Amino acid sequence: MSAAFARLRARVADALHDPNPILVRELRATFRTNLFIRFLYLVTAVVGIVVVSGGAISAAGPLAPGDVGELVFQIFFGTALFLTILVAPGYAATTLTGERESRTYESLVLSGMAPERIVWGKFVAAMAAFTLVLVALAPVVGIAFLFGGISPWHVLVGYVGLFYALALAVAFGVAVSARMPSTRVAIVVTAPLCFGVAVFGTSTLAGLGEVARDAWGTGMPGPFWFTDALVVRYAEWDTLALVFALPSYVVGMGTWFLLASSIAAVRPVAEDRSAGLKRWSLAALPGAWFFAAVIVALVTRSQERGIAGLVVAGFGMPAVLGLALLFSDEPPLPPRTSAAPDSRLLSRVFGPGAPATLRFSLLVSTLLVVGVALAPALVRHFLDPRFEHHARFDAGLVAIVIGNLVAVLFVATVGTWLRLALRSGLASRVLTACVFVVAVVFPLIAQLVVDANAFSGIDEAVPLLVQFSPLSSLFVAGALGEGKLDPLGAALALAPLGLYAVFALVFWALSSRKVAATRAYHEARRARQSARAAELDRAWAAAAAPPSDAGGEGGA
Amino acid sequence: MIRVEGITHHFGSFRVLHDVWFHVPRGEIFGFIGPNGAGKTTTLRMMVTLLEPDEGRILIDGIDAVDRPADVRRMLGFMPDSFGVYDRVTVTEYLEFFAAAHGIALGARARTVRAVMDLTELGQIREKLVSDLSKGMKQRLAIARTLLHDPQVLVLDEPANGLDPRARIEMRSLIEELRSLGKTIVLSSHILTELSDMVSSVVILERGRVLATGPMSAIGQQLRPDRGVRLRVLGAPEGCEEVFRAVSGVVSVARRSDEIIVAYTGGDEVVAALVARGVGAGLALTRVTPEQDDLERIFLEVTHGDLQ
Repeated sequence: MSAAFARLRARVADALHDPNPILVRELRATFRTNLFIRFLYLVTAVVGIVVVSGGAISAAGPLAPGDVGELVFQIFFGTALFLTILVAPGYAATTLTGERESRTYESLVLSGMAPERIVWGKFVAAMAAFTLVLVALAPVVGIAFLFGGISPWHVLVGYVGLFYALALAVAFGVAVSARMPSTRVAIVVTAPLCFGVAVFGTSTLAGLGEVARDAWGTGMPGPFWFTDALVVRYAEWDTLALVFALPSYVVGMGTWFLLASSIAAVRPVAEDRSAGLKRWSLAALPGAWFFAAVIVALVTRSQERGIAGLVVAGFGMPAVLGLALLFSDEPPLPPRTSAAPDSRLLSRVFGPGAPATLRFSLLVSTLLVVGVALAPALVRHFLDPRFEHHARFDAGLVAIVIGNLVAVLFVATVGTWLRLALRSGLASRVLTACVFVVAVVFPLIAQLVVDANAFSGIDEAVPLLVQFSPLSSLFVAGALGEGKLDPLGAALALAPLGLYAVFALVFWALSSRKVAATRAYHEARRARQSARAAELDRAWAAAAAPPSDAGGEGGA
Repeated sequence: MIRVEGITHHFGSFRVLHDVWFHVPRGEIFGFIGPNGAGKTTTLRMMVTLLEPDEGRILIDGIDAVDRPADVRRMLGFMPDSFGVYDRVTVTEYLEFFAAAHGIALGARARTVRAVMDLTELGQIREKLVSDLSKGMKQRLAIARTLLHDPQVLVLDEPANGLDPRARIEMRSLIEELRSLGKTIVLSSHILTELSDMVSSVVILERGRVLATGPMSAIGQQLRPDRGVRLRVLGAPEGCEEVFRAVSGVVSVARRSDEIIVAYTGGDEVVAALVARGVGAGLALTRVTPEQDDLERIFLEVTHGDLQ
């Protein structure tokens, strides 16, 4: 532990003593432009006008001074949040595309600088520039103090919230920048998306505030309701879990994911591009298990706790399908830069290359699926040892685990095979998603065609055709939870999912064959190349001049 | 130093390089020539690990550029044909940035940057913003950047492109100075007369294929086995060319104004015999100039003018 701490301290000292060169250069370049200073003035002016106008209008109304203060506070942070989500990704989206367009990117790559340092430098530089903008806005929120109703703690928590949003926004911009060919395309991609997220995100946040007010009786109206919730209820575990820990986890893992994705995009094709994302997915697991448990623990009644557990476990399906698609863009063989036999067992089994990455994807998915089912079950058993329907909900969770595992096995193997066949990550992902959607929807539609009323009794018996949909496990779990289906009936209803498992094994075998063929092709090519090189060596040796460094005797 | 062995490359279905083989000797300036679209830049980008060949391999001092790109990058400095520079930093800051990017320790960084600026004569403009530099100075700065990690090999793609005559001369002397420091320099240029003065070996590419490669003298010999010499004769009396025709080894004699152009086979003794014969015949020889295997002649004879 002390060694790890010493290493961490040394790294921090190194970073302070000799900071990331990209960070230093970007900050110099940013602060030397008039454009940035003008932007700073513009943002301050816009936020200032909005806040002053809002304050003046509300002060003229019947509101008490404290309420006006709260409103001004919300207007300030709401506007700052809106601008952050709208502008920061666009700004960050130019960081790497700008290097490509100004033709400095290749020099950077050839300098041998690690992709991690490049991406981290860009991220921190964009964060630093925007932090300066947000800090420069701080005096504007002082207007709220004139009316009262808020404390400096509200402002502090509000700023933490803004920085959370900023981290995600900048990381998203850098990720877009890492994948887009030009600044124009990057901005075109991010701008409408960010506008939508800014509108939807700000209003969703405000909507969640209403729920929190109803539940806890605290929180001022507006998107930054959580400042009041945390200031007032900072000692309550549920508030800390939902308003501090969960957002911290989501923002932390989200930012990490976007940066890992950027690093993978920046890394040359000849190198291991999936290792960072694999580390991220492993790190994300404990948090997912923890919050699955927390959500169930928050529910007060036993029966509802059981249902909440099923719902949480059900949400494991989109999560693992996302993981399966994430890891389905791997080349057939490990990159040549890591072609040397790796002595570490973990690297051989779960390292780069399609077969190992498929194994890794299935391992992480299994851990996630089982974990988000097990955690609610454990919480339920721990909090309600006398609850009489544990067995029902446990059986429901098992059904969901089986359904989710079959779905992820199917998607991962189909995705891997399509990637190997099409040689395109994007095309294979889109096609795999389409195949899965068809597998989900087609049986449901077919059942409706056969019997329009088939779904009326689905909580008691899952109709035959619906049993062929990967979603059938959710219906089975629901019926089990309500005690309307016995385990044998559940097993029979889940049996058709075996078809997807069979398909998955077929695609796995096809993928293995493709990988073997690719390996054989590359080995033959290498052998051919070596033979030709040896032939040339002999020719050079036979020539009058020695072959090494004696003149350009190449065979024209 | 560099061995390019049978590289082939496609952009989509279009084959830009086909089975390219050549060898760059250590410590030489190696010319890389060919018409537009011949595949020069693609080959150079493969040599510096920015592209991977579909077939074949590239060895830099025995290290495979595909298998160990990081090791190869440490040995190479690359200046692309069109490059960018960071505008809003000074020359010193620019070089310090790349020194840090190359992983040069903080303690040694300032010293390295100073040494490179001295070598490339950028010291006087060290505090100037890069955006304020002339094109020639930017080219010089780009070369300085490639030297920071003291690479054994420099790959310069059109380094004199767009420079005025003075800057070109300065660039040439800089390149020759770098060669004298033991660097192997691979140079691509359209300006054959300039290359001709510097390079000792070349590879000539056309339509993605190697047409000729090796020392220029060897290629010249291969293309035209007989050698040539120009004899300037003061006054050049009528019929004086007949004096030289009788010398053993002479293949042909032609007259152009007051110059007699003699093609011959054999060594320098034939030139000595020509001079002796001319002096013996009372001709006033004022200059004897052996004909060079100049790059332009080789290029024109080897290439067919096909564009891809």
